[in-house]
Amino acid sequence: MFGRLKEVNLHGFSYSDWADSSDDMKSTSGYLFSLGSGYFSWCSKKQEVVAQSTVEAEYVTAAATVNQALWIRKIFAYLKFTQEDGTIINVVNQAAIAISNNPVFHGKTKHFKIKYHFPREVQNNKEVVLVHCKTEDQLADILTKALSKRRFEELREKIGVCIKRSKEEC
Amino acid sequence: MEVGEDEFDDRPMRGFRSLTDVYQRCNVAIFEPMNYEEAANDPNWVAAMKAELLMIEKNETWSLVDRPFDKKTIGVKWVFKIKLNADGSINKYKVRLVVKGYVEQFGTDFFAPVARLDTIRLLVALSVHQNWKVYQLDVKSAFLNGFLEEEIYVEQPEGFVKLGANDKVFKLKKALYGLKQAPKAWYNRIDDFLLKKGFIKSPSELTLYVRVKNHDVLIVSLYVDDLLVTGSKFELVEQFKVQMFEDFEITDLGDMAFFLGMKIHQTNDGIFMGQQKYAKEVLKKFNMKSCKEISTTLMQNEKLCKDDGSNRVDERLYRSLIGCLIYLTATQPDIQFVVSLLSRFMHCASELHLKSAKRVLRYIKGTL
Repeated sequence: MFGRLKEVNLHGFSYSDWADSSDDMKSTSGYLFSLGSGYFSWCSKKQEVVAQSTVEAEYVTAAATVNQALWIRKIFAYLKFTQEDGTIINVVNQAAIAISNNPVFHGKTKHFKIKYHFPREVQNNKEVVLVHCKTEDQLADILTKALSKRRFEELREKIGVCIKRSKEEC
Repeated sequence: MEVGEDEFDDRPMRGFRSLTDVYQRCNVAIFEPMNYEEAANDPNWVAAMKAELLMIEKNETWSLVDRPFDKKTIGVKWVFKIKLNADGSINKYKVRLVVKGYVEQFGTDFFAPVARLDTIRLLVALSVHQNWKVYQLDVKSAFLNGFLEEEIYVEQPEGFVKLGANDKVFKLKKALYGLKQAPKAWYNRIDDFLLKKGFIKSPSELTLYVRVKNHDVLIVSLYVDDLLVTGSKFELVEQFKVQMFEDFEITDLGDMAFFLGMKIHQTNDGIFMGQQKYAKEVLKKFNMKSCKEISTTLMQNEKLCKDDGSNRVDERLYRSLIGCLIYLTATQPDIQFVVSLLSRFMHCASELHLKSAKRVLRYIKGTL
Protein backbone atom coordinates (compact mmCIF):
# COMPACT_ATOMS: atom_id res chain seq x y z
CA MET A 1 0.00 0.00 0.00
CA PHE A 2 2.76 2.44 0.88
CA GLY A 3 5.94 2.44 -1.20
CA ARG A 4 9.27 4.12 -0.58
CA LEU A 5 10.03 7.54 -1.99
CA LYS A 6 12.70 10.17 -1.47
CA GLU A 7 10.96 13.37 -0.50
CA VAL A 8 8.11 13.84 1.94
CA ASN A 9 5.64 16.10 0.22
CA LEU A 10 2.05 16.27 1.22
CA HIS A 11 -0.40 16.35 -1.66
CA GLY A 12 -4.17 16.43 -1.61
CA PHE A 13 -7.23 16.04 -3.79
CA SER A 14 -10.56 17.67 -3.16
CA TYR A 15 -13.74 16.94 -5.08
CA SER A 16 -17.48 17.02 -4.66
CA ASP A 17 -20.63 15.75 -6.26
CA TRP A 18 -23.32 18.39 -6.40
CA ALA A 19 -26.79 17.75 -4.97
CA ASP A 20 -26.48 13.98 -5.20
CA SER A 21 -28.53 13.18 -2.14
CA SER A 22 -32.06 12.85 -3.47
CA ASP A 23 -33.59 13.29 -0.02
CA ASP A 24 -32.33 16.75 0.82
CA MET A 25 -30.31 17.80 -2.24
CA LYS A 26 -27.14 18.13 -0.26
CA SER A 27 -23.80 17.45 -1.90
CA THR A 28 -21.04 15.00 -1.08
CA SER A 29 -17.47 16.02 -0.26
CA GLY A 30 -14.44 13.82 -0.72
CA TYR A 31 -10.77 14.32 -0.11
CA LEU A 32 -7.57 12.30 -0.20
CA PHE A 33 -4.02 12.93 1.04
CA SER A 34 -0.74 11.24 0.27
CA LEU A 35 2.98 11.74 0.73
CA GLY A 36 3.65 10.58 -2.79
CA SER A 37 2.83 6.93 -2.61
CA GLY A 38 -0.17 5.40 -0.94
CA TYR A 39 -2.99 7.55 0.39
CA PHE A 40 -3.19 7.67 4.15
CA SER A 41 -5.98 10.10 4.92
CA TRP A 42 -9.36 10.21 3.25
CA CYS A 43 -12.94 11.20 3.81
CA SER A 44 -16.29 11.03 2.09
CA LYS A 45 -19.08 13.00 3.71
CA LYS A 46 -22.39 14.60 3.00
CA GLN A 47 -22.13 18.35 3.33
CA GLU A 48 -23.86 20.18 6.13
CA VAL A 49 -25.38 22.84 3.94
CA VAL A 50 -27.32 22.77 0.72
CA ALA A 51 -25.00 24.08 -1.95
CA GLN A 52 -26.79 26.20 -4.51
CA SER A 53 -24.19 25.67 -7.22
CA THR A 54 -21.39 23.27 -8.10
CA VAL A 55 -18.99 26.08 -7.22
CA GLU A 56 -20.38 26.30 -3.75
CA ALA A 57 -20.23 22.53 -3.32
CA GLU A 58 -16.60 22.55 -4.42
CA TYR A 59 -15.85 25.48 -2.19
CA VAL A 60 -17.33 23.81 0.88
CA THR A 61 -15.29 20.70 0.13
CA ALA A 62 -12.15 22.77 -0.35
CA ALA A 63 -12.67 24.28 3.09
CA ALA A 64 -12.90 20.82 4.66
CA THR A 65 -9.85 19.66 2.73
CA VAL A 66 -7.85 22.69 3.76
CA ASN A 67 -8.72 22.05 7.40
CA GLN A 68 -7.45 18.51 7.16
CA ALA A 69 -4.34 19.66 5.29
CA LEU A 70 -3.53 22.10 8.06
CA TRP A 71 -3.95 19.42 10.68
CA ILE A 72 -1.63 17.05 8.82
CA ARG A 73 0.92 19.83 8.31
CA LYS A 74 0.84 20.52 12.03
CA ILE A 75 1.51 16.88 12.84
CA PHE A 76 4.38 16.79 10.38
CA ALA A 77 5.87 19.97 11.74
CA TYR A 78 5.65 18.49 15.19
CA LEU A 79 7.40 15.34 14.02
CA LYS A 80 10.17 17.55 12.63
CA PHE A 81 9.18 17.02 9.03
CA THR A 82 8.02 20.54 8.44
CA GLN A 83 6.48 20.98 5.04
CA GLU A 84 8.45 23.86 3.52
CA ASP A 85 6.28 24.29 0.45
CA GLY A 86 2.60 24.96 0.47
CA THR A 87 0.53 21.81 0.22
CA ILE A 88 -0.92 21.45 -3.24
CA ILE A 89 -4.56 20.50 -3.35
CA ASN A 90 -6.03 19.58 -6.70
CA VAL A 91 -9.46 20.96 -7.41
CA VAL A 92 -11.39 20.55 -10.66
CA ASN A 93 -13.68 23.54 -10.44
CA GLN A 94 -11.83 26.63 -11.65
CA ALA A 95 -14.46 29.00 -10.38
CA ALA A 96 -13.94 27.68 -6.85
CA ILE A 97 -10.20 28.33 -7.16
CA ALA A 98 -10.85 31.80 -8.51
CA ILE A 99 -13.11 32.65 -5.58
CA SER A 100 -10.56 31.46 -3.09
CA ASN A 101 -7.77 33.45 -4.75
CA ASN A 102 -9.62 36.63 -5.30
CA PRO A 103 -11.67 38.15 -2.52
CA VAL A 104 -14.19 39.77 -4.81
CA PHE A 105 -17.67 39.95 -3.40
CA HIS A 106 -19.63 38.34 -6.13
CA GLY A 107 -23.37 38.00 -6.47
CA LYS A 108 -23.04 34.24 -6.78
CA THR A 109 -21.01 33.91 -3.60
CA LYS A 110 -22.68 36.34 -1.25
CA HIS A 111 -24.71 33.64 0.47
CA PHE A 112 -21.70 31.42 1.30
CA LYS A 113 -21.30 30.87 4.99
CA ILE A 114 -18.41 32.76 6.49
CA LYS A 115 -16.55 29.67 7.63
CA TYR A 116 -16.29 28.42 4.08
CA HIS A 117 -14.15 31.42 3.19
CA PHE A 118 -11.43 29.95 5.33
CA PRO A 119 -9.38 28.68 2.34
CA ARG A 120 -8.79 32.29 1.27
CA GLU A 121 -6.95 33.17 4.43
CA VAL A 122 -4.89 30.01 4.39
CA GLN A 123 -4.00 30.50 0.75
CA ASN A 124 -2.73 33.98 1.57
CA ASN A 125 -0.35 32.42 4.08
CA LYS A 126 0.86 30.14 1.28
CA GLU A 127 0.37 27.11 3.48
CA VAL A 128 -2.00 25.55 1.04
CA VAL A 129 -2.30 26.13 -2.69
CA LEU A 130 -5.38 25.16 -4.64
CA VAL A 131 -4.40 24.02 -8.11
CA HIS A 132 -6.66 23.09 -10.97
CA CYS A 133 -6.65 19.58 -12.37
CA LYS A 134 -8.67 17.76 -15.00
CA THR A 135 -11.59 15.62 -13.94
CA GLU A 136 -9.76 12.56 -15.29
CA ASP A 137 -6.89 13.17 -12.89
CA GLN A 138 -9.14 13.87 -9.93
CA LEU A 139 -8.55 10.87 -7.67
CA ALA A 140 -11.07 12.00 -5.06
CA ASP A 141 -13.74 11.16 -7.65
CA ILE A 142 -13.88 7.68 -6.10
CA LEU A 143 -15.04 9.22 -2.81
CA THR A 144 -17.96 11.15 -4.19
CA LYS A 145 -20.01 8.95 -6.49
CA ALA A 146 -20.64 5.52 -7.92
CA LEU A 147 -18.37 4.98 -10.90
CA SER A 148 -18.20 2.71 -13.90
CA LYS A 149 -16.18 -0.46 -13.48
CA ARG A 150 -13.34 0.80 -15.66
CA ARG A 151 -13.00 4.15 -13.92
CA PHE A 152 -13.43 2.62 -10.46
CA GLU A 153 -10.65 0.09 -11.02
CA GLU A 154 -8.39 2.74 -12.51
CA LEU A 155 -8.78 5.06 -9.54
CA ARG A 156 -8.53 2.24 -7.05
CA GLU A 157 -5.16 1.30 -8.46
CA LYS A 158 -4.01 4.92 -8.42
CA ILE A 159 -4.84 5.42 -4.77
CA GLY A 160 -2.84 2.34 -3.92
CA VAL A 161 -5.50 -0.13 -2.87
CA CYS A 162 -4.29 -3.61 -3.63
CA ILE A 163 -6.54 -6.48 -4.42
CA LYS A 164 -5.61 -10.10 -4.06
CA ARG A 165 -4.19 -10.67 -7.50
CA SER A 166 -1.62 -7.93 -7.19
CA LYS A 167 -1.00 -8.28 -3.47
CA GLU A 168 2.49 -9.65 -3.88
CA GLU A 169 3.67 -6.45 -5.51
CA CYS A 170 2.71 -4.19 -2.68
CA MET B 1 -0.84 -21.85 46.20
CA GLU B 2 2.14 -20.95 44.09
CA VAL B 3 1.41 -19.16 40.90
CA GLY B 4 3.89 -18.74 38.07
CA GLU B 5 4.96 -15.33 36.94
CA ASP B 6 3.38 -15.61 33.53
CA GLU B 7 0.00 -16.51 34.89
CA PHE B 8 -0.69 -13.11 36.34
CA ASP B 9 -2.07 -11.90 33.14
CA ASP B 10 -2.88 -13.67 29.95
CA ARG B 11 -0.93 -13.25 26.79
CA PRO B 12 -2.21 -10.30 24.82
CA MET B 13 -5.11 -11.24 22.66
CA ARG B 14 -4.58 -10.33 19.05
CA GLY B 15 -7.38 -10.09 16.58
CA PHE B 16 -11.09 -9.95 16.63
CA ARG B 17 -13.80 -12.43 17.27
CA SER B 18 -17.06 -12.20 15.47
CA LEU B 19 -20.27 -12.30 17.46
CA THR B 20 -21.18 -15.72 16.14
CA ASP B 21 -17.87 -17.02 17.39
CA VAL B 22 -18.58 -15.59 20.79
CA TYR B 23 -21.96 -17.23 20.84
CA GLN B 24 -20.48 -20.50 19.70
CA ARG B 25 -18.09 -20.40 22.57
CA CYS B 26 -20.99 -20.01 24.94
CA ASN B 27 -22.37 -23.29 23.71
CA VAL B 28 -19.34 -25.21 24.76
CA ALA B 29 -20.23 -27.76 27.39
CA ILE B 30 -17.68 -26.51 29.91
CA PHE B 31 -19.36 -24.75 32.72
CA GLU B 32 -18.63 -21.10 33.40
CA PRO B 33 -19.91 -20.06 36.82
CA MET B 34 -22.14 -17.04 37.04
CA ASN B 35 -21.21 -16.07 40.57
CA TYR B 36 -18.94 -16.88 43.46
CA GLU B 37 -21.14 -19.60 44.98
CA GLU B 38 -21.02 -21.63 41.82
CA ALA B 39 -17.28 -21.26 41.44
CA ALA B 40 -16.37 -21.96 45.06
CA ASN B 41 -16.82 -25.70 44.60
CA ASP B 42 -14.30 -26.03 41.81
CA PRO B 43 -10.64 -25.99 42.92
CA ASN B 44 -9.60 -24.69 39.51
CA TRP B 45 -11.66 -21.58 39.93
CA VAL B 46 -10.59 -21.07 43.52
CA ALA B 47 -6.96 -21.23 42.44
CA ALA B 48 -7.62 -18.72 39.66
CA MET B 49 -9.31 -16.34 42.09
CA LYS B 50 -6.36 -16.59 44.44
CA ALA B 51 -4.02 -15.85 41.56
CA GLU B 52 -6.01 -12.77 40.62
CA LEU B 53 -5.91 -11.50 44.21
CA LEU B 54 -2.21 -12.18 44.41
CA MET B 55 -1.64 -10.08 41.34
CA ILE B 56 -3.71 -7.25 42.75
CA GLU B 57 -1.63 -7.36 45.95
CA LYS B 58 1.60 -7.50 43.98
CA ASN B 59 0.48 -4.50 41.98
CA GLU B 60 -0.10 -2.60 45.22
CA THR B 61 -3.54 -1.73 44.02
CA TRP B 62 -5.20 -1.33 47.38
CA SER B 63 -4.77 -1.23 51.12
CA LEU B 64 -7.10 -2.45 53.83
CA VAL B 65 -8.58 0.42 55.86
CA ASP B 66 -11.45 1.04 58.23
CA ARG B 67 -14.77 1.68 56.60
CA PRO B 68 -15.06 5.42 56.03
CA PHE B 69 -18.13 7.14 57.44
CA ASP B 70 -18.51 9.86 54.89
CA LYS B 71 -17.69 7.91 51.72
CA LYS B 72 -19.67 5.34 49.85
CA THR B 73 -18.03 2.04 49.06
CA ILE B 74 -18.41 0.28 45.76
CA GLY B 75 -19.01 -3.44 45.48
CA VAL B 76 -16.76 -5.78 43.58
CA LYS B 77 -17.67 -8.81 41.58
CA TRP B 78 -15.93 -11.90 40.28
CA VAL B 79 -16.10 -12.59 36.56
CA PHE B 80 -15.28 -16.05 35.30
CA LYS B 81 -14.23 -17.02 31.82
CA ILE B 82 -12.75 -20.12 30.31
CA LYS B 83 -10.17 -19.59 27.62
CA LEU B 84 -10.02 -22.33 25.06
CA ASN B 85 -7.24 -23.41 22.79
CA ALA B 86 -7.84 -23.51 19.06
CA ASP B 87 -8.62 -27.23 19.34
CA GLY B 88 -11.26 -26.70 22.00
CA SER B 89 -9.28 -27.89 25.00
CA ILE B 90 -9.12 -25.72 28.09
CA ASN B 91 -6.31 -23.22 28.00
CA LYS B 92 -6.94 -21.34 31.15
CA TYR B 93 -9.40 -20.60 33.91
CA LYS B 94 -9.53 -16.88 33.85
CA VAL B 95 -10.89 -14.79 36.68
CA ARG B 96 -11.13 -11.06 36.91
CA LEU B 97 -12.15 -9.04 39.88
CA VAL B 98 -14.14 -6.11 38.60
CA VAL B 99 -15.63 -3.08 40.24
CA LYS B 100 -19.34 -2.59 39.86
CA GLY B 101 -18.60 0.54 37.92
CA TYR B 102 -22.21 0.83 36.82
CA VAL B 103 -23.19 2.09 40.24
CA GLU B 104 -20.74 4.95 39.94
CA GLN B 105 -22.00 8.33 39.01
CA PHE B 106 -21.46 9.25 35.40
CA GLY B 107 -18.90 11.94 34.76
CA THR B 108 -17.11 13.49 31.86
CA ASP B 109 -13.43 13.14 32.58
CA PHE B 110 -13.34 9.38 32.49
CA PHE B 111 -12.19 8.84 28.96
CA ALA B 112 -8.77 8.20 27.53
CA PRO B 113 -7.95 9.65 24.14
CA VAL B 114 -7.13 7.18 21.40
CA ALA B 115 -5.18 7.82 18.25
CA ARG B 116 -7.06 8.67 15.08
CA LEU B 117 -6.68 6.13 12.33
CA ASP B 118 -5.45 8.97 10.14
CA THR B 119 -2.56 9.45 12.54
CA ILE B 120 -1.66 5.80 12.56
CA ARG B 121 -1.69 5.64 8.78
CA LEU B 122 0.27 8.89 8.66
CA LEU B 123 2.87 7.38 10.94
CA VAL B 124 3.07 4.27 8.79
CA ALA B 125 3.36 6.33 5.60
CA LEU B 126 6.05 8.50 7.13
CA SER B 127 8.11 5.60 8.40
CA VAL B 128 7.95 4.00 4.96
CA HIS B 129 9.36 7.16 3.45
CA GLN B 130 12.09 7.34 6.03
CA ASN B 131 12.87 3.65 5.78
CA TRP B 132 12.09 3.19 9.47
CA LYS B 133 10.53 0.15 11.00
CA VAL B 134 7.51 0.42 13.25
CA TYR B 135 7.60 -1.55 16.49
CA GLN B 136 4.77 -2.44 18.78
CA LEU B 137 4.64 -2.79 22.55
CA ASP B 138 1.74 -3.96 24.65
CA VAL B 139 1.33 -3.04 28.30
CA LYS B 140 0.03 -5.89 30.44
CA SER B 141 -3.13 -5.06 32.39
CA ALA B 142 -2.62 -1.44 31.48
CA PHE B 143 -5.68 -0.20 33.33
CA LEU B 144 -4.40 -1.58 36.60
CA ASN B 145 -1.38 0.71 36.31
CA GLY B 146 -3.25 3.94 36.53
CA PHE B 147 -3.07 5.92 39.75
CA LEU B 148 -6.37 7.25 41.00
CA GLU B 149 -6.92 10.88 41.81
CA GLU B 150 -10.13 10.33 43.73
CA GLU B 151 -10.58 8.43 46.97
CA ILE B 152 -12.40 5.24 46.14
CA TYR B 153 -13.27 2.48 48.56
CA VAL B 154 -14.34 -1.00 47.55
CA GLU B 155 -15.78 -3.87 49.53
CA GLN B 156 -13.73 -6.96 50.15
CA PRO B 157 -14.29 -9.57 47.48
CA GLU B 158 -16.76 -12.32 48.19
CA GLY B 159 -15.17 -15.44 49.62
CA PHE B 160 -11.93 -13.73 50.48
CA VAL B 161 -12.87 -11.51 53.36
CA LYS B 162 -9.89 -11.16 55.70
CA LEU B 163 -10.37 -12.92 59.02
CA GLY B 164 -11.07 -10.55 61.85
CA ALA B 165 -11.43 -7.63 59.49
CA ASN B 166 -14.98 -8.19 58.41
CA ASP B 167 -15.92 -4.57 58.38
CA LYS B 168 -12.79 -3.21 56.78
CA VAL B 169 -12.76 -2.08 53.17
CA PHE B 170 -10.07 -1.57 50.59
CA LYS B 171 -8.94 1.87 49.63
CA LEU B 172 -7.87 1.90 45.99
CA LYS B 173 -4.54 3.41 45.04
CA LYS B 174 -4.67 2.13 41.50
CA ALA B 175 -7.53 1.40 39.18
CA LEU B 176 -9.40 -1.87 38.93
CA TYR B 177 -11.25 -3.20 35.92
CA GLY B 178 -14.75 -1.86 35.58
CA LEU B 179 -13.90 1.42 37.26
CA LYS B 180 -15.01 4.29 35.11
CA GLN B 181 -11.85 6.23 35.86
CA ALA B 182 -9.61 3.36 34.78
CA PRO B 183 -8.91 4.42 31.16
CA LYS B 184 -8.29 8.01 32.14
CA ALA B 185 -6.08 7.02 35.07
CA TRP B 186 -4.01 4.85 32.76
CA TYR B 187 -3.66 7.63 30.21
CA ASN B 188 -2.49 10.05 32.91
CA ARG B 189 0.06 7.56 34.13
CA ILE B 190 1.61 6.86 30.71
CA ASP B 191 1.37 10.55 29.81
CA ASP B 192 3.38 11.47 32.92
CA PHE B 193 5.88 8.75 32.18
CA LEU B 194 6.48 9.84 28.58
CA LEU B 195 6.76 13.52 29.46
CA LYS B 196 9.25 12.68 32.20
CA LYS B 197 11.37 10.77 29.73
CA GLY B 198 11.72 13.86 27.60
CA PHE B 199 8.93 13.34 25.11
CA ILE B 200 6.84 16.22 23.87
CA LYS B 201 3.14 15.75 23.28
CA SER B 202 1.60 16.97 20.09
CA PRO B 203 -1.00 19.67 20.75
CA SER B 204 -3.07 18.57 17.78
CA GLU B 205 -3.01 14.86 18.55
CA LEU B 206 -2.98 13.92 22.22
CA THR B 207 -1.67 10.42 21.63
CA LEU B 208 1.41 11.31 19.64
CA TYR B 209 4.70 11.84 21.46
CA VAL B 210 8.06 12.73 20.00
CA ARG B 211 11.58 12.99 21.37
CA VAL B 212 14.30 14.71 19.37
CA LYS B 213 17.98 14.39 20.23
CA ASN B 214 20.73 15.52 17.86
CA HIS B 215 18.51 15.21 14.80
CA ASP B 216 17.42 11.74 15.80
CA VAL B 217 13.71 11.34 16.19
CA LEU B 218 11.79 8.86 18.28
CA ILE B 219 8.03 8.75 17.86
CA VAL B 220 5.53 7.01 20.10
CA SER B 221 1.84 6.67 19.35
CA LEU B 222 -0.56 5.47 22.04
CA TYR B 223 -3.60 3.37 21.43
CA VAL B 224 -4.87 2.66 24.96
CA ASP B 225 -2.49 -0.13 26.00
CA ASP B 226 -0.77 -0.54 22.67
CA LEU B 227 2.22 1.58 21.82
CA LEU B 228 3.60 2.07 18.34
CA VAL B 229 7.24 3.09 18.36
CA THR B 230 9.29 4.23 15.43
CA GLY B 231 12.30 6.43 14.92
CA SER B 232 15.40 7.21 12.95
CA LYS B 233 17.67 4.98 15.00
CA PHE B 234 17.15 1.41 16.05
CA GLU B 235 19.19 1.96 19.23
CA LEU B 236 16.80 4.67 20.35
CA VAL B 237 13.87 2.30 20.03
CA GLU B 238 15.74 -0.33 22.04
CA GLN B 239 16.63 2.25 24.67
CA PHE B 240 13.02 3.28 24.97
CA LYS B 241 11.94 -0.33 25.43
CA VAL B 242 14.38 -0.67 28.34
CA GLN B 243 12.91 2.45 29.93
CA MET B 244 9.43 1.05 29.53
CA PHE B 245 10.45 -2.27 31.08
CA GLU B 246 11.62 -0.43 34.18
CA ASP B 247 8.21 1.06 34.90
CA PHE B 248 5.67 -1.28 33.37
CA GLU B 249 5.12 -4.91 32.66
CA ILE B 250 5.18 -4.91 28.90
CA THR B 251 5.16 -7.41 26.10
CA ASP B 252 7.52 -6.66 23.26
CA LEU B 253 5.64 -7.58 20.12
CA GLY B 254 8.57 -6.77 17.86
CA ASP B 255 7.78 -5.42 14.40
CA MET B 256 4.30 -4.04 14.13
CA ALA B 257 2.47 -6.86 12.40
CA PHE B 258 -1.06 -6.91 13.71
CA PHE B 259 -2.71 -3.82 15.07
CA LEU B 260 -6.42 -3.25 15.75
CA GLY B 261 -7.26 -6.17 13.51
CA MET B 262 -5.17 -4.79 10.69
CA LYS B 263 -2.42 -6.89 9.27
CA ILE B 264 0.74 -4.90 8.68
CA HIS B 265 3.32 -6.37 6.42
CA GLN B 266 6.66 -4.54 6.52
CA THR B 267 9.10 -5.25 3.71
CA ASN B 268 12.04 -3.47 2.17
CA ASP B 269 9.88 -2.04 -0.60
CA GLY B 270 7.10 -0.70 1.55
CA ILE B 271 4.40 -1.49 4.04
CA PHE B 272 1.17 -3.23 3.28
CA MET B 273 -1.86 -2.68 5.52
CA GLY B 274 -4.84 -4.96 5.16
CA GLN B 275 -7.82 -6.42 6.97
CA GLN B 276 -8.29 -9.71 5.13
CA LYS B 277 -8.85 -11.68 8.29
CA TYR B 278 -11.44 -9.26 9.59
CA ALA B 279 -13.12 -9.07 6.18
CA LYS B 280 -13.40 -12.85 6.09
CA GLU B 281 -14.97 -12.87 9.52
CA VAL B 282 -17.47 -10.25 8.45
CA LEU B 283 -18.41 -12.32 5.42
CA LYS B 284 -18.86 -15.32 7.66
CA LYS B 285 -20.92 -13.38 10.16
CA PHE B 286 -23.39 -12.27 7.51
CA ASN B 287 -23.46 -15.65 5.79
CA MET B 288 -21.86 -14.24 2.67
CA LYS B 289 -18.91 -16.60 2.60
CA SER B 290 -19.88 -18.17 -0.68
CA CYS B 291 -21.55 -15.21 -2.35
CA LYS B 292 -20.90 -14.24 -5.94
CA GLU B 293 -18.13 -11.71 -6.35
CA ILE B 294 -18.73 -8.39 -7.98
CA SER B 295 -16.30 -5.83 -9.33
CA THR B 296 -17.76 -2.50 -8.16
CA THR B 297 -19.29 -1.35 -4.91
CA LEU B 298 -22.38 0.37 -6.29
CA MET B 299 -24.24 0.49 -9.58
CA GLN B 300 -23.26 3.58 -11.47
CA ASN B 301 -26.72 5.05 -11.84
CA GLU B 302 -28.24 3.75 -8.67
CA LYS B 303 -29.70 6.40 -6.41
CA LEU B 304 -30.51 5.56 -2.84
CA CYS B 305 -33.04 7.56 -0.91
CA LYS B 306 -34.87 7.45 2.39
CA ASP B 307 -38.27 6.24 1.31
CA ASP B 308 -37.77 3.99 -1.63
CA GLY B 309 -41.04 2.13 -1.23
CA SER B 310 -39.47 -1.20 -0.40
CA ASN B 311 -40.06 -2.95 2.90
CA ARG B 312 -38.13 -2.08 6.02
CA VAL B 313 -35.57 -4.57 7.25
CA ASP B 314 -34.23 -5.46 10.67
CA GLU B 315 -32.38 -2.31 11.63
CA ARG B 316 -30.12 -4.10 14.05
CA LEU B 317 -28.84 -6.32 11.27
CA TYR B 318 -28.30 -3.34 8.98
CA ARG B 319 -26.59 -1.30 11.66
CA SER B 320 -24.24 -4.08 12.61
CA LEU B 321 -23.39 -4.68 8.95
CA ILE B 322 -22.64 -0.98 8.41
CA GLY B 323 -20.56 -0.96 11.58
CA CYS B 324 -18.42 -3.76 10.20
CA LEU B 325 -18.10 -1.98 6.87
CA ILE B 326 -17.07 1.27 8.55
CA TYR B 327 -14.29 -0.57 10.28
CA LEU B 328 -13.15 -1.94 6.93
CA THR B 329 -12.77 1.58 5.57
CA ALA B 330 -9.75 1.85 7.89
CA THR B 331 -7.67 0.35 5.12
CA GLN B 332 -9.99 0.58 2.14
CA PRO B 333 -10.67 4.03 0.72
CA ASP B 334 -12.32 2.34 -2.27
CA ILE B 335 -15.39 1.49 -0.19
CA GLN B 336 -15.40 4.76 1.77
CA PHE B 337 -17.94 6.50 -0.44
CA VAL B 338 -20.47 3.72 -0.54
CA VAL B 339 -20.16 3.05 3.19
CA SER B 340 -20.73 6.66 4.11
CA LEU B 341 -23.65 6.74 1.69
CA LEU B 342 -25.22 3.63 3.18
CA SER B 343 -24.71 4.81 6.73
CA ARG B 344 -27.08 7.69 6.03
CA PHE B 345 -29.93 5.19 6.06
CA MET B 346 -29.27 3.59 9.43
CA HIS B 347 -32.57 4.81 10.81
CA CYS B 348 -34.69 3.85 7.82
CA ALA B 349 -33.02 0.77 6.42
CA SER B 350 -35.03 -0.82 3.64
CA GLU B 351 -34.57 -3.95 1.57
CA LEU B 352 -32.89 -1.92 -1.15
CA HIS B 353 -30.38 -0.46 1.31
CA LEU B 354 -29.60 -3.88 2.70
CA LYS B 355 -29.17 -5.20 -0.81
CA SER B 356 -26.66 -2.45 -1.57
CA ALA B 357 -24.83 -3.13 1.66
CA LYS B 358 -24.64 -6.80 0.77
CA ARG B 359 -23.34 -5.81 -2.63
CA VAL B 360 -20.41 -4.17 -0.83
CA LEU B 361 -19.75 -7.47 0.90
CA ARG B 362 -19.77 -9.19 -2.49
CA TYR B 363 -17.30 -6.60 -3.70
CA ILE B 364 -15.09 -7.19 -0.67
CA LYS B 365 -15.20 -10.91 -1.32
CA GLY B 366 -13.80 -10.20 -4.78
CA THR B 367 -10.88 -8.25 -3.36
CA LEU B 368 -9.82 -10.85 -0.81
